[in-house]
Amino acid sequence: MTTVSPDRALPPSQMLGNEAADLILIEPRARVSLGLGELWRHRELAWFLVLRAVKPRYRQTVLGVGWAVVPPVAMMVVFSVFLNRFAGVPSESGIPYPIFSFSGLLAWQYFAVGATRGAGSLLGNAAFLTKIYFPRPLIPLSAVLAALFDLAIAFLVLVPLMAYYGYTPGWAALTLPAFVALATAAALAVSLWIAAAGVQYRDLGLAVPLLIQVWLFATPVAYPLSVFPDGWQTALLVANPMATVVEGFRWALLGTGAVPGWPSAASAALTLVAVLGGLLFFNRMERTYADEI
Amino acid sequence: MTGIGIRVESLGKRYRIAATGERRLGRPRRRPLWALRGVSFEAPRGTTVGVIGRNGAGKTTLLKVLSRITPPTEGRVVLPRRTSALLEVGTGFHPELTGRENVYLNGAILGMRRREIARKFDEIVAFAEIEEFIDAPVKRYSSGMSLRLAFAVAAHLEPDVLLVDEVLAVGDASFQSKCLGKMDEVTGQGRTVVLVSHSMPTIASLADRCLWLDRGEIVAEGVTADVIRRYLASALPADPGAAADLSGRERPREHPGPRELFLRSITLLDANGAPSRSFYEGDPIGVEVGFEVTRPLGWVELRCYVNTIEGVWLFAANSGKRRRDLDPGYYTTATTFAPNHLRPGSYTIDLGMQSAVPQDMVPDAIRFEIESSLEGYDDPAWAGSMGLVRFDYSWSDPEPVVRE
Repeated sequence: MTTVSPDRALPPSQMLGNEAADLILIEPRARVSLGLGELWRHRELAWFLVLRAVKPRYRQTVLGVGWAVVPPVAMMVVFSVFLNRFAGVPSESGIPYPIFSFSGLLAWQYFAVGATRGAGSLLGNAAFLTKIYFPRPLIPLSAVLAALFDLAIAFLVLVPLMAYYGYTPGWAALTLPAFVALATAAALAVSLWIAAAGVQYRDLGLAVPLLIQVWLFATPVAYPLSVFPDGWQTALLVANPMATVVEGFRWALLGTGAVPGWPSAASAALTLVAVLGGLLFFNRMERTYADEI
Repeated sequence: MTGIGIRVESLGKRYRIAATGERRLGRPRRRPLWALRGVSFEAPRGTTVGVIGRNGAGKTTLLKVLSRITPPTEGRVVLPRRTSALLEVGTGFHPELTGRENVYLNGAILGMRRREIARKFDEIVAFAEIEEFIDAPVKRYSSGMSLRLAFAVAAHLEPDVLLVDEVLAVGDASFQSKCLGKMDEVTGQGRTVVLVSHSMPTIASLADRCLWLDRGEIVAEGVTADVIRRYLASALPADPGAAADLSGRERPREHPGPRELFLRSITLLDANGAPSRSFYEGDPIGVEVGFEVTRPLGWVELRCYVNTIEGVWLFAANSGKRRRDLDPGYYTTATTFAPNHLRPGSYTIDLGMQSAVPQDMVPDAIRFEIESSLEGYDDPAWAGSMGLVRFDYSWSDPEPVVRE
């Protein structure tokens, strides 16, 4: 009955399309791309997704903010009592073991929480992902970044601990953001690869806790790097970015451990490659995600 | 790119359905299913495209591809970056966050800056009518409130394309009509709307053009009224003919009746008393209904509703209580619609009969066409779009107004 009635026709200016909209092309398999432009365009959304992950977690739990502090503190106590006191695992050059282990645990906990949440983030957001479009890498990215809040809160415990043991951070502490960034990149790389592969192989998520556990033993958190022979130390620093991060944290905060050098730079470069490769792989896999539910 | 709202070129989407639910290491055997195939259409800016079709026809898949939730298997789509989709109630809402936070979240998903969203915020809240709940978590909202907020967000954040799936059905009637008005306004601002709906009146009143999908392919595309007519004609049982035998027709289950009174036939008659189903505008339409009484009844009443083929109810022509004490047997009753006020188009008649209780009911008992007589149209091109009813009128010649 109804056809285009005259009052619905557009004013001529709009028919000309002079304010032409920003057009996009949707194709079957877009060439593999990092999609960095899309990510940047949605930077505001990244912030929202971080808030979305953080707020509810603290809003309705009894301990609330405490949950950011309890795990590293508990681990510190366990390490100090069982590993240091009874098993005789040493600290480094006379640093009290509790602060030695806690400074490493801070960094480790951030990585472990970030990587675990990031790797499982696609499944956790399935409902969201199948109903609305946005650049998908934002999901693991925001899961990792949300763990930064826990790190910041855990720092509030470190400050009195350092004061208690009489440590004042020096200028080196200003390099901390660089190590936090490296830990972020490492967690993101793990998240991207596992989340992307998990689209095809769901049970991969179950392997994450094991991976993290093994990784903890390969990282000088509970023990000093100096337990290894020299050559091994360098190899570990290059191959394991978290070794670089943990050592870096101790160097920046306590002025001990390996001074960051070329192995740290090499480790950072490798991690960056892993992140970019992960992003490519993720972008390729996520396109099938909505269909695999 | 002048005036392009959306351009879709031979779009196809193939899903692989896992043969077994189990998924182990390695690929399970899967059966391909084309949810969309060879779909092409174009919508200029500022138009509304209606998408109709049975369940599983590929309507939602089309919206999912257009909104970039899932990639196509073949073909391509060109559309504006800022495309907003309203696919399901509560889509994109996070239950733990407040309404306010969710508005900003949804804006950010569209790639909007905080300031842009803030500018629209009050308007959104006012439209959704949830001022007092805007700082409560969305999980405490009723489904109606969620829908109102979702629609308000999608429509007010100034997307260049708005994709709307069958979600408005959830809202109450007044909000629905508000949404329909808003969609009309949105297209007036040069934005493009793609609307999926099972409600033909909604599609008919909003869509400039219409796509009919079936099994992933376009069956018909074009002027909304034509496509709807063809779709409904296919969706209904085979055309019953001029004299319709109603005995074998399916009855709606909710109307079983005590089996004392049965509708048996309906016949439409032209001015000469010959059966016909095609009438010119203004021609009288005779209606003759046959029914059977199986037990003595005190009285009967015939209900007769005339609808457009799109399902808009136009008028009732009920008999009122008739003829006390009917013995078992066959009866007919007849009437004539004269003058006939219907505009050109397709119509359908629903019949019902009752005694003390509702007895029998046959929706779409018969269909008929009104052809344009072209009389009374100063411009015959308008013959198809002059509304639903016609009245006799004639405008006086313009007279100069004399000012003293």
